[in-house]
Amino acid sequence: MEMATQNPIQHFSTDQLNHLQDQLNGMHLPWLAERRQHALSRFIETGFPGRKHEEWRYTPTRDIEKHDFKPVTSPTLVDTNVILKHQISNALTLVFVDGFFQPDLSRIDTSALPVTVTNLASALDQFPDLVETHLDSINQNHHGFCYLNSAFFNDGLFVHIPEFTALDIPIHVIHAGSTSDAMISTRNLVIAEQDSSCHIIETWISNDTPRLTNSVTEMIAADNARIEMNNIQDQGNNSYHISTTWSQLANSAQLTHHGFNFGGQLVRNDINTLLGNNAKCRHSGLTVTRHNQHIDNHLRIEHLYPEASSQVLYKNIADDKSRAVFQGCIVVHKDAQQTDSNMSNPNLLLSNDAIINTKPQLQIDADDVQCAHGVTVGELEQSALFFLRSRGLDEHTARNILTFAFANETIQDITSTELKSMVLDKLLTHFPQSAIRVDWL
Amino acid sequence: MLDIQNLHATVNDKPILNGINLQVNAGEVHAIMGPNGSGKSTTAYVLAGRDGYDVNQGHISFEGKNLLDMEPEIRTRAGLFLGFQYPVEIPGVSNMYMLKAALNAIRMHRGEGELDAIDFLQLVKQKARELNIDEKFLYRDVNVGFSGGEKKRNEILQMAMLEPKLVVLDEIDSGLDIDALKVVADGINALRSPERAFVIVTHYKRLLDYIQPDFVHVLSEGRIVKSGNISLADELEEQGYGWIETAPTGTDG
Amino acid sequence: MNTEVLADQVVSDDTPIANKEIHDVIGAEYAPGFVTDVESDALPPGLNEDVVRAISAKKDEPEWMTEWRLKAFRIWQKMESPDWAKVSFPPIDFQNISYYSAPKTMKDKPKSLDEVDPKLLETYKKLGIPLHEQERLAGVAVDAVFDSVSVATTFKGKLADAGVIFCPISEAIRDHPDLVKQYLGSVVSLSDNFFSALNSAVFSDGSFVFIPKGVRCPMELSTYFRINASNTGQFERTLIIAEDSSHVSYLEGCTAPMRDENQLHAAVVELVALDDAEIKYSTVQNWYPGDENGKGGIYNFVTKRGECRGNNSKISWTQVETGSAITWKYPSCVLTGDNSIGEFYSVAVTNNFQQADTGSKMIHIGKNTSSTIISKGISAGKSQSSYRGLVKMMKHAENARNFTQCDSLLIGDKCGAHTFPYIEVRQPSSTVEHEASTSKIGEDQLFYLQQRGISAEDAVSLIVNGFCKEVFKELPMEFAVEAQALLGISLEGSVG
Repeated sequence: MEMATQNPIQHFSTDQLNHLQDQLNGMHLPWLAERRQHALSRFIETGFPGRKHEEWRYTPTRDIEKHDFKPVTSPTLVDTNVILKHQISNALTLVFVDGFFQPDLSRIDTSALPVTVTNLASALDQFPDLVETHLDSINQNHHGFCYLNSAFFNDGLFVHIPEFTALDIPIHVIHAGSTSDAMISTRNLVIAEQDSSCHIIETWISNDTPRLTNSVTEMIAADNARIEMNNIQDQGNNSYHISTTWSQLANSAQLTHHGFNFGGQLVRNDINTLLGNNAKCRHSGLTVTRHNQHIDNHLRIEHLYPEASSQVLYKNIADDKSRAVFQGCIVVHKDAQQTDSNMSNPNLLLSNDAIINTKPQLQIDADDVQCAHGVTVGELEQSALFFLRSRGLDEHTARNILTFAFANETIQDITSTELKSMVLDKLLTHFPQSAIRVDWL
Repeated sequence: MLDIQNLHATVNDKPILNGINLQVNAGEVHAIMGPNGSGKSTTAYVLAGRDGYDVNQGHISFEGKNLLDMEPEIRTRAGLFLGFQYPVEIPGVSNMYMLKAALNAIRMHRGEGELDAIDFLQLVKQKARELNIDEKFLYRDVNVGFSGGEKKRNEILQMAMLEPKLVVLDEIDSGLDIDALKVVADGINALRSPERAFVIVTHYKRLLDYIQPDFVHVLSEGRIVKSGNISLADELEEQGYGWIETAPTGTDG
Repeated sequence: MNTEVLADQVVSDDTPIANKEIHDVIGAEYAPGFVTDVESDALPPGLNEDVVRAISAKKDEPEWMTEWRLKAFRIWQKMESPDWAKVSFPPIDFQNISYYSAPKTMKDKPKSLDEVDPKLLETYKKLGIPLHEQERLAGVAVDAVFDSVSVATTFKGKLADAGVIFCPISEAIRDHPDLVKQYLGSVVSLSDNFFSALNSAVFSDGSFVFIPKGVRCPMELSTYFRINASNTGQFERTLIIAEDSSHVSYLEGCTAPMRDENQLHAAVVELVALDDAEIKYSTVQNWYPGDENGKGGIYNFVTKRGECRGNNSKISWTQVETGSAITWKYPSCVLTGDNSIGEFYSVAVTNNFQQADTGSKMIHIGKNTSSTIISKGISAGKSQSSYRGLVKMMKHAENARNFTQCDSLLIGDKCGAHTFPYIEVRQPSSTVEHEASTSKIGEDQLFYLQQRGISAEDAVSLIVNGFCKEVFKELPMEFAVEAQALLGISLEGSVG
């Protein structure tokens, strides 16, 4: 790993950094203060991953280093209508602005429900032991951004679903922000006990000011628990977004994870899933890049025990001068016999100046496995384009229809119809002047 | 309606059509027959404007306009419909959606305004019923997982929906069993009218028995070498194409 | 027996493999593991500029070649051994290796086979490569390289009649300096990588092939590499140039004695195909793989690259890799000419403690270029096998196409099979398709074949051969037979 020559907190002295940390939530807990201290010193040592870091070869962090992103001490308020527009009915909703929890905009009345859904800061006050046990229990701090998050996270989502409990309504976290040059570190912790289930939606929106959002999520599913996670990232075009998700699935647990990426200047999603005996995970994603966006999805799925299955479908559409990156690694450990894994990464390259980089990997140390991956990169099918034009559609519309059809498969995976139509709307805004009509779909 | 003059075309720089002349008037049904490689499908693709089919000589006028100047979709909106020999599969796009987008594009072109969802649904269901097409096919992706016969019936449904002036059918009968062939033939016959013309490209006579074309042309080595009525098809059926291929070429139909 | 159907069915089932019978076949011997007792003229271990000069002097090289080597040596000194491959080995002490060893009897440069030490001829005969032309298959010319020198090159006269130059590269440096100057290092530059830089400094011998314009080489050309001396590295250099509209098929084979210490083999192969030319390069690599405890064996760190420099040219690599303790090689094609074609067909078998990190790079620069990668990895014992590849569509590679398929077959639960493909696309009209799968030999398949009366080891061999069929069909006929036999031997004792 290269030493950082610059980093977002280079402008602060050690005293200032300590002072910044002192203002963070939960600093009254000695274990947390100590962890933050340690993470800060580790970050100062390692800096951001450099170009020689194999896992970051297609995603340089130079641009982030050039900016002068700073931790913020209070939020700049945003237009509440924008937030309301993104709300999902009947969901427990938590709204964060610049990383600060907004009780007035949130709806988390769980008094009638046997579950805990709150912000992490409150959980640190109410259930410090539970948080201490699980926080950082699976996060492996595998690169500088994670250390940075561990040093400076202030708040985030906390979910605890007791055993044999199914939470039927979705939990919706909306992250909004508008403070220029802000560095926002958020931390989510989801604990699903045995035979429980929950459904989480995380939406990221912002205006066009430059900002860095650095988020770490840990999801722990005990035996037979089920978690569904939908992540919709549609931030402004000067946003730098780094997100790391660690999921650990115990015996027969299940995870469905959807990642939709439309916005942001530079986006990197690290998705790490650890599979127990007979656990199942399904990861699907859609990334649409335009202008000079750069979006990198980086999956690593580890089969640690026998009979687990993993299914991955990640689609990329790159237009203009943008770049879409996919790296997917399936690791099958020695004891993980009867692993079943399939990874598919279709890519659509729509412009002469766009770039697709993809790196599907298999690392297999067990013999009784069925693992496969497939990647395609290409433009739209010429025969399909001609067929649609011969039916009277103009070329522009025909191209949009085919591009839309390519993307639609991943959207149809979403179970909530309300969320599905929200994501569809976001996708359609990427086809300006399009004759695609949502009322026909 | 359609006037093809001395049409020469190449595919990958290889000459395929070597001087086709053909006039089609409203209300007429023309059949083009010929052995494999004689240029039948190329003729159909050139009419519809497929990339890679290069016209290097000759003219095609459609209702007095230069067809070769038009983009593929403009030809369709002007009233030309091509039924594909191998209809294309388009995953992720439902039949219903494609039909609605196509029909509305054509209606807008004609200045008729879009059909609303209810009227469209009624229309498409009615056409599907007439063509003996199961309604559930409408909701499936375009041609994906369709059998050969289903794909061809789907082409006939699209033809019926778009109400073209000139229908070009490229081996619409290939790969059909007798029942499917009847459905396709019935669909074509139902659309016959004094305002509409058909050019039916086929290798075999059996479809023509159901349709009874007004004219039959025989294509060989990129030229029409013989023209006549349905009895010419009978002759071909009995004698095969051998006698045509050895016959001197250049006699225009 | 329909092996095709079986190959398609090589997928895992629910029952773990427990075929004792197959396990019993243990004890396969590495037949080429003998040592030829000849006196050597060797340089003492160690590497510095004087050693580089000494090698150059032993070869009677012109000054420009000595300078070229020294330049490479200085570059190498500044480089670090690469660590990205999925292989592990203790650091190599480059000062503990002898960089030149030749049988003393070769010092006088024998003029004909009659003057060659009979012990050397006997060695090749034992390896199944008789060097007397009358004993050879008429269609194959051989250059036999023993440690650091070429012992003999057969059919030189017949090839010269056709205008083909086929000789040791040391001879080409003396006799065809203009060709060597023009092409040596033009595909693999001095600074390309650590091992190629080392090779450029100390390479001892290898083959040189030049096919002039319009000539179809009248026979298969082949080089047989033999490491004999202990503590010696082999650094051969091969350069093949196919001028416009020419055609050549080239094959190399390699073996070494069984020794307890690891020996280094760092070769560089450069191919250049001009307009409409075609080069087919096949390798059957059977360097000593080490014993069943992982002791000894060759470190095979090889740089092989071909450039389709001319339009409509074609370079095809086929390799069957069964030997070496560690294999690190990525035969590649740089597709510069429009409409050029690159191919890579590979079978890599690892058993016991062998490690292989191998694959291919296809760099599409010209328009309408196309490439195919078919890689079959078979891991058994405690071995590790990785496919590593790069497919790159450059900005102007309009309508370029690549198809990649890498399949791994695992035999036993203590081995590993890994896939690391890199795909980089900058041209929308290009198409890349990549598929990979990992599976094992199914108990049901073995049982089915055994029930039909086929022995367990033959059943494994059948299934594995079916799995590799697409690659074997690319090999010249007689070598395909050899490769299949080799595969059977490599895998003996692997299932348990």
